[in-house]
Formats: sequence, C-alpha cells, structure tokens
Amino acid sequence: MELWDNYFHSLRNRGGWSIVCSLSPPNRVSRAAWLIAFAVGYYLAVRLGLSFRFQNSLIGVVWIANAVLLSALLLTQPSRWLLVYLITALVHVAAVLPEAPAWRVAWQIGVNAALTITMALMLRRFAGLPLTFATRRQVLVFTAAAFGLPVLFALATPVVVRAMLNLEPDYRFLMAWLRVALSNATATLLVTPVIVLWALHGVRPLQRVSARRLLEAGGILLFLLSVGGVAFGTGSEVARYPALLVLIFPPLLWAAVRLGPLGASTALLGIAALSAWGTARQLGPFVLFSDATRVLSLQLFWITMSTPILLLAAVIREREQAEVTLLTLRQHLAHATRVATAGELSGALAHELRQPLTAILANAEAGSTLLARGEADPAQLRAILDDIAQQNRYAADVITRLRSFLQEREPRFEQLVLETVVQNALALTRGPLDRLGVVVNTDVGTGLPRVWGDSVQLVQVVLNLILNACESMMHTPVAERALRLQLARNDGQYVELAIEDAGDGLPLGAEERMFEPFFTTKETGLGLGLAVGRSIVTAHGGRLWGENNPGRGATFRLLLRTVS
Amino acid sequence: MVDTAPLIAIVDDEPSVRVALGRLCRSYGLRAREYASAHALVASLAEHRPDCVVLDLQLPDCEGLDADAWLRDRGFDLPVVIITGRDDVKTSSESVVLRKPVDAKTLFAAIRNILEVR
Repeated sequence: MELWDNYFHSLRNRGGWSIVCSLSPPNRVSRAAWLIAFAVGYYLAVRLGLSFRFQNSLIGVVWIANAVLLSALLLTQPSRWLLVYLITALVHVAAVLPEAPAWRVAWQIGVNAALTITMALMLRRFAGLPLTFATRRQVLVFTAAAFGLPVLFALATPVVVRAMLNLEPDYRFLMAWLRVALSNATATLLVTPVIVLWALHGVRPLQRVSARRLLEAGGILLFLLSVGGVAFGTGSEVARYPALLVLIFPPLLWAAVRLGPLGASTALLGIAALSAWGTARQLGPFVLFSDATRVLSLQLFWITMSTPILLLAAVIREREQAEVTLLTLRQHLAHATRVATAGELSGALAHELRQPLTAILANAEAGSTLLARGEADPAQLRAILDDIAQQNRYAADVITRLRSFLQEREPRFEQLVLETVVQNALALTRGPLDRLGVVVNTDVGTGLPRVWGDSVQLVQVVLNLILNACESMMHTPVAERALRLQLARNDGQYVELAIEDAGDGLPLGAEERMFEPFFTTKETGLGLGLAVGRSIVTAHGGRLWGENNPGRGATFRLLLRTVS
Repeated sequence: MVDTAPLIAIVDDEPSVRVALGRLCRSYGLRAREYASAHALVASLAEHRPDCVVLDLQLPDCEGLDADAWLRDRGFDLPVVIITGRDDVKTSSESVVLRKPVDAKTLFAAIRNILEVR
C-alpha cells in the first residue's frame, strides 16, 4: 500500500534535490579555493577546447571555456567580476599563447569577455538568479541567450572577421561564423547548467538523499551509459542504423522526470560526452558523414536534445512545486478553519473550564472553613484535596486538548485508534452538546484495526460534523435530541464512522453541494467546514459523504484506510 | 450539624460541582442535598423541602432561567439562586444569577438575603 506519510516525505525529498544554497562563499579560505578551482577549471576547459578539434581546424567543436566563464559570472556578485576576468585573461594567455600570436589572443579574450558579460547580464535581468532551471521561463531565456548571443558575437571573433576579409586560408566566412557560433552555443547549453546546478546544489546534500533515490539515479546512469555505449560506441556496422539514436531518449526522459534539472542536465552532458568520444574514435552514427558535416550534425544533435529535456525537467519541477504549495495552502486553510471553530467554541470552552474551577474553589473554601471551625477530620480533608487535584487535572486536560487542536504543524501521519479521535472530538464539543441536552450514544465495534491519519486533522473533521449535528438539532424537541456515533469495519480496507443525528436533515438535492466551499445553511459560519473536511479526508485516501435518514435527521459517513 | 439549619438543594448535572457545593454549604453549618437534575429535585420535594435551591443554569431538563416558574408550575414556590458558567445570560429572571466560579462569600450572601426576606 502506498502510505500517505511516504507520499508527503517523498515530496519533501524531491524538494531536497532543489537548490538551497547560498551563493557567496562564507569565508576567505573558501573564496581563495573557489578562485583556484575556477582558474584550474578554465585552464582545463581551454586545453580541452583546443584539443577537441577535428581536421586540425582553428575552431573547436565545443568551446567549453566560455561556458565555464559564464558559470563563474552567474555564481558571483558583479563586484567580483573584474577579478574573475583578470584570472580568465591570465589563464587564457598561459593556455593559448604558445599556439597563437599575442594580438589574436587579446582579441579573442576581448570578444569572450563581451559575450559572457552580455549573457550574464541578460540572464540576471530576464531569467533571474539563482539560475535553477526549475521554471520554463528560466530555461527558455537561457536557451535564447545561449543560442542567440554566440551567433551575434561570433561575428566579432578574429577567425570570422578575417574570413570575411579573406585572410583565413581554411575558412569561408559563413562556415567560420556557423562553426564559432555553434561551438559556443552548444558548450553553453550543455556545460553551464551542469556547473551552475552542481555548484548551487553542492555534493553534501546527496548524503541526505534516500537510498531508494540514489539507487534510481544509479539505475538511470547505468541505463544511460549502456544505451549511449551502444548508440555511439559501436562500429559502423551497427552505426548504420541511425534509429539507434532514439535509444538514448528513455534514460534522458527518465532523468528529466525523476531527477529534476540537476539530473537532466548532467545526463545530457554525459550523452554529449559519449557521442563526442565515439565520433572522435570513428564510432557511432555520425562517422557516416564527411568531416565537416560530422561536426555540424553532432552540434545540432546536442542543441535539439538539450532544450526539450531541460524544459521537461522544468515543467515537472514546476508541477512538483505547485503540489507542495497546494499542500501548504491546504494546511493553512485547515488551521484557519480550526481557529475559526475554536472561536465559535470559545463560550463553551470557557464554560467547561468554569466547572472544574467552581469545584476547586468550593472545595478549597469548604476545607478552609472546616479547619477554621476545628471540625476537619483527616479523611474528609483528604477527600477534598483529592477532588481539587482531580479537577485541576481535568482543567489542564481541557487546555491541552484545545492547544493541540489549535496548533499549526506539518501533517503527521501515524497509526491511530479512531475511537480516540472520536473521544477527543466529543470532549471538545461537550459544551454545545450539554447545552442542547443532546444524548450521545457511542457504539464501537470490537477488534477494529487502526487507521492511518493525522490526529489533529481528523479530530477537526469529526468535531465539525458533531457541531453541524448540534446545530441541526436546535429545532428538535429536547427529549429527542440524540447523536449516535458508530464505528465499524467496512470491507477490511476501511473503518467507517457514522454520525447520525436527529436534526433537520440535509437540504434536499444538496447532498453534494454541501461539500462545496461557502455553501452554508447556517446564519453564522464560513461554509468551509465540510469542504475542508472532505479535502482532509480525501488527502487521507478516505471518503466523506452525507445522506438523509429514513426518519428524522441525517447521517454523515467517514471512511478511513486501515493499517494493513 | 443542627436539624433546624436551613436546607439547601443543589442541582447541577456535573457531579464534581454539586459535591463541592454541598460540602461548602455543610462546612458553613447549613444542610445540603444534591441533585443531578430538576426532575430529581421535584421527585424528592415532598419529602425534603429545601429553603433555597441553588441551580445550574444549564440543565438538560429545565431551562434554568425560568426555574422558579418551572417549579411554580409544578406547585412548588421556592427561592432559586442560579449559578452559570455562561457569559451570555441576561438576568431577566426574578432569581439571583451568579457566575461560576462562585466564591463562598457571594453565594452565602445571596442565600442569606433570600432566607431573611422569607
């Protein structure tokens, strides 16, 4: 059986994958470590970009360095950007200089800086930080920036400008433009989300992820590696079937749906790396093309894959967030209606506290009078003191019960004895029941199993039904005012609580409309009691409905799942 | 305790309250009998006629505010002190209305007043 508390926990666990992390490094040491990590990362990215070139062209297949730089900008405050750029320039020079003339390196650094700062500003302005890729807006703005800006800025790069002027022997203008733009766009699309999301998420929260979830992530990884290996790592006899590419979608979709933006972007990068590795080793479907189109088709493959997958992850995450929000709102509403109910009950509760206070005062004064008159015998005094203590405890119980009824807390699902819930609700409604002189009859079947539920919320439901019953019996002659609460087993899976009154009955034809919000037949009250009651019971996997009795009054029935 | 001391009938459906009020009356040298309902009181009136009735307003079988009229309807003209835990009581009745928790001084002042008037 799917347990309802598991459901709540799993929602919370999914929340655990989302980003909860501060952006500013907490102290000097970690700031220095962060800058060193960035410098090393940027250096490696430049070297990787340089080495990952087909046909010894100047332009890499993916220029990861700019994606690393953009990630650094997205993860730091603008006040530190100057420092980031300084490091970038130094590292870039160190990594590139032996292979390229100084003027060209300086030019390239300038264009890279302009491109990345524009991207970072655009994302800050239109996507909002932190960039969690958890909303469609963020994914779409990111895609537009990652694709559009490289296309624009590529026009200013040395290789494209020189090709335009016919100064590059290997490239024509259009080809150079396309290659530079795509190598930057693909790198940004594939690498930036992974760096940003892992930096925001951190590795430590993984320890809090449930074993089941880690196992699932491991399963997805294994699935991804094996289908990726088949699609991209096999020889040309298998690669002849481009349909094999479709194989990689099940694990990618699985990652997007279950692991959120972090898992989806990581899986995308993994697939991209596998396809690049296979193609470089003359394996997989892309080797069937000529060198130039091979690079192009790889890049197009990555671009068309990444956006839909990231979007899917965002949509799923948005839905999960909406579910969590809905749950929280439902909790608040339940609490608000409890407070309103307690307000209605306040007179009755005051009365209920005055009873033990009356007894305590009278007992204490009797005792002290007897002592003053010298007529007190120890046995009588002990009886008086015992009564005082007992009444005191009773008053304390009233307060405790009210406090626990009014508390606002996360739903806590546990095994409950439904009879206890009924007794608590009866105790809280004793005032109105006594005042109307309602005879209460409780009939509990034998050997009833426990039910799953949140005790506070279920007391709220039952209490509300009792109050409604009281209200409907206002016009009933006093001698006939009766409330019957019957607890019985219902076909093994459920326990049924039937609350039968002798009141006015339900308005004809409104047996279902009663459960709509703001439907009310009372002069006071919000008309939310039954609506909230039903939403609570539904969230418990149970049912709540009402029907008219053959004779006088109505019966409300509440079904709750048993603990199997 | 002297047999000639005034007899107070205490009517309250809450056992702890009526027992405690009974004790209080006896500690002051009065006689007291406790009843759980107005009907129980009426049933014993022939045998034990109280000098004053202390009655909880909220009884299942009689509307406390009209308790004196209710008793008169049944042929008993008795002075009534009403005690109540409710806040919303309008004192239209002839009877004295006291709010719970009631202290001994107030209660016995009311009873003494009634007994002296009689």
